[in-house]
Amino acid sequence: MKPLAMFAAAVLLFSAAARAEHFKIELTVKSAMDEPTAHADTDPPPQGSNPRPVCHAKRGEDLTFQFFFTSNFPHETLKNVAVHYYIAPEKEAGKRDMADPGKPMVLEGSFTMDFKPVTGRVGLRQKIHIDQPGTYIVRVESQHSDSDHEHFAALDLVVE
Amino acid sequence: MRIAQIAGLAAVLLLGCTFARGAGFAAELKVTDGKATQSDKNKPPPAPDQTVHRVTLESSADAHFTATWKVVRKDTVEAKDALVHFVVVKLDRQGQAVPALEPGRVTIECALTMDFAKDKTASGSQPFSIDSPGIYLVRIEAGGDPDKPGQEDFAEIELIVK
Repeated sequence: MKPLAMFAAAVLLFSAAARAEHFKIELTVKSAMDEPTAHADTDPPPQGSNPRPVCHAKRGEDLTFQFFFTSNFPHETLKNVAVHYYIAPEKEAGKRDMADPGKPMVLEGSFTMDFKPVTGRVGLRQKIHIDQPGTYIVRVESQHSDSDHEHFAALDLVVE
Repeated sequence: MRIAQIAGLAAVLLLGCTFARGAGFAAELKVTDGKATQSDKNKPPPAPDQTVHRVTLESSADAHFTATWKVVRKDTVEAKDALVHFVVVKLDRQGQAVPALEPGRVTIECALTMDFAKDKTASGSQPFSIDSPGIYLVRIEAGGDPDKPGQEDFAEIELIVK
């Protein structure tokens, strides 16, 4: 199998469960100590209804940031959806607060694509490290999904 | 010329056309470190034994890079569940073919699948950092089949990180 195969195959094989949400999401940050996974929540409210899992890490250590974002909407293709992801400082872990608007993001990226029922999906795996101790929110979210709500998954990253 | 020879020649030409045409996508890639920018558009794949000549961007190991890419369907035939794949992977030397994507070599990797009717696009913006000096390949490819390498359309840039 060709070099691209391993992660691409994982994206191809990642399947959506039969649930009511438009998207199935799995968001993970892996450190030497933790590997929590956050699942899909809904916005509004912006902070959702589920508590955020917490990942503990040491500053400067290699972390693996990964998510899979899959269509779970059986009726039609969702067109030109933006999938936005970021890691940004927050004031305190375990709270419902969002990113601290006064501090710059550590990482921010996006995709724009269509999500076909069942097979429409995007996945990302990235090596990162954070050199500044603090508490960070890690979040991936849909935007412009032509609905009255959006979907996201988020977790807290505590860097010591 | 005998019929078998004609058929054989036609088959070779057909294969050659398929090789040159790729998968029917246009791929664009731009990488910046905030100071300098380099870009590439898709081109025909090199022959298997040909040295790859890529555009390069020189930078430093403390730089923060952003890759932006866009894939557009050019063929009139809709591509169903087409794979778009983006990767930043360490090379051993400039001009090296895409290496095996071992976890220790890969800085970032993304993949998406969707249907592409003619002129349909997908795009992305991926920030990343590189810790150690070396040569890195930044590559976007579309329409690839993991079991049939060499048919995808792609754009790629080499980062020379000092």
